[in-house]
Amino acid sequence: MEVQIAGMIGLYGGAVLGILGWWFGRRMAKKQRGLDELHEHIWQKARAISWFFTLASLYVLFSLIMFGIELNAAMVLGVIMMVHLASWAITGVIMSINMNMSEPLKPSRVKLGISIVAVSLILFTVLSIITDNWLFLLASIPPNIIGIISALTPARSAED
Amino acid sequence: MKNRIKDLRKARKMTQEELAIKVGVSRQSIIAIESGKYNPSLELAYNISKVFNCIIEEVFIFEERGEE
Repeated sequence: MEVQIAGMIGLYGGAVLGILGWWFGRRMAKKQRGLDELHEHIWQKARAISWFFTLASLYVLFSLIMFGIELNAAMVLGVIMMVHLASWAITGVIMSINMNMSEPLKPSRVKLGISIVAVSLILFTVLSIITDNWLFLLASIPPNIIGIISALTPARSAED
Repeated sequence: MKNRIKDLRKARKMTQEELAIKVGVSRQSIIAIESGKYNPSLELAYNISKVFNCIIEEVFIFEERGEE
């Protein structure tokens, strides 16, 4: 058994940076009365939605194991953690932007955009793990951009 | 749920930021409530109505169809 120094730095360093970012973000938001009920509503809903993406990634990973692909615990936990945190953050940001826009976002387009991002993230992460080639992650950037643009394109006004 | 916040605010020459400060929320919340994207809690609805010296029913108009 050997201690993985780089892994530990990434894991605990990431957690410390994340907590610091969260704490400073809340402090800045508090100064502008940003920690109100709308903020709570947005981030609670984003967290609830992110569990569906986590569930989807669990199903994909279980399916891979049943198809005979060997996955180790670090890979599986890494994918689940990334999908959960990324979908939580992306959903929260989309909802925050939507609340600030004068023209509402189209719900069907938001769902399509989020689905594109989630599917490409899961697919290319799994591909990079299976093939042991991280360059597959770069291939997920174009579909992710398309998904985000699709989700953040406002609907035309009701008069159109 | 529809509301008359924008009309009441304009009638009193009040900005979204000023209203937000008076009720203790962010300007983003006022934008979201005005545009009907977010239905405020009973407490916030009461506080907004109080700023305009109105009762809740005069500011927020309940629609029978409810939320879509």
